Amino acid sequence: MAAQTPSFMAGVPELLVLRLLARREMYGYELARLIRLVTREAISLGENVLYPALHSLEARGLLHARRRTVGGRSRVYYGITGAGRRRLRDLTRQWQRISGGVATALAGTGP
Amino acid sequence: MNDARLEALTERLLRAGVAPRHARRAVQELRAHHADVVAELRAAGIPPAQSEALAAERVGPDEAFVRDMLARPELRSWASRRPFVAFTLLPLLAFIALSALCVGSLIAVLEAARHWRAWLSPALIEGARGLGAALFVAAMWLAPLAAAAVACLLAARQRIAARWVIAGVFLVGLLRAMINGSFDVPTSLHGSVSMGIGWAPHRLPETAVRAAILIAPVLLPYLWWLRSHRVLTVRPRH
Repeated sequence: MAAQTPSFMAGVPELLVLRLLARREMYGYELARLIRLVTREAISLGENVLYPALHSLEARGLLHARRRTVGGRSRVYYGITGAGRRRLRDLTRQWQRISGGVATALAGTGP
Repeated sequence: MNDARLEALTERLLRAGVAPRHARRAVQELRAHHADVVAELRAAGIPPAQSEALAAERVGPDEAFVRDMLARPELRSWASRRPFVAFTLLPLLAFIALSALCVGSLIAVLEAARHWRAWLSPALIEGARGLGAALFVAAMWLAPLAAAAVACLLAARQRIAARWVIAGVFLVGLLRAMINGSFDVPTSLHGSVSMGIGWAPHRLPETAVRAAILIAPVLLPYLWWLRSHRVLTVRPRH
C-alpha cells in the first residue's frame, strides 16, 4: 500500500489532476485509476477526496464539468479551461524548482 | 453504497452550507465511483463480498469526504454564507421589483390601448382592460406570494436555518398588508389605478388579516416541510 501523502505534498494532487486532464476529458473514476497508474501508487489519494478537489477546481474556474452518457451510463466528465492551463504552467514551474532544489540537496552538489 | 447512506451524506453537506449542485453531484459521483471499483474488482475475479469490502476501503470513509468538502469555502453557496441578505432582504426586494414590473406593464398596456383605441375593436379594448386588471391582481397578490414562496423553496432546498426565511416572509406579508390599491378602469379606459402604502392603528385588524392571508399559504407548507424533514434545528457551526 502507498504511504500517506505528507503535508508538504499539498498542491501535488491539483498539479496531477490538471496535468492529466490537460491531455483529455475524464470522469472521476478514470482519473483516479490513471493517477494510481502514472504515479505507480507512490501518491496515495483517497479516491473519495478526489471529488472535493475536482469540484473545487471547477468552482475556481480551472476545470469545466459536463454530463455525458457513455455506454448507457451518465458520467460527469471534467476538462481543463484556459485558466486551468495557466495554473498548470505555474504549478509545473514551482514543482520543477522545488524538485530541482531537493535533488541538488540530496546529491550534495550544492555549496 | 445504499440510498439511505447517500441521502444522509447529501443532507450533511447541505446543512453545512455546501451549494446543492456541488453536494448532490459529488455524492452521485461518489456512488458511481464505488460501483465502478466494485465492478473492477469483480472483473478481476474477487468474490462479491470481498469486492464490496475492498471497494469501501479504496473509496475511503464518508468522514474524509465530508471533511474535505467542508474545508473548501468555494463550494459553499452564496446564500448559506449570507442568509440574512438572501432570505430576509432579497424576498422583500423581489416583491417590490415584481410589483413595480406589474404596475409598469399595466400602465403600458392601458396607455397603448388608449392611444390606439380608434383602431382597436371593442373586444380588443376589453381584452386590454382585462389584462390591466390581471396585472393589478398580480402586483397586489401574486408578486408577494411568488417572492415569499420562492424564498421558502430555495431555503428548503439549501437547508437554510428557518429563522431567516420566516423573517423574510413576515416582512413581505407586512409590507403587502400596508399597501392599499384600487383598479377602477371602465371600458372607456378613462379611469384610475391607485396604489399607496400606509398604516393606521384603527385599521390594525384589517392589516393583520391581510398579512395572515398572504403569510399562511406560504409559511404553513414550509413549516410542515421543516417538521417532516426534522430540520427545525440550528445549523451547527463549522
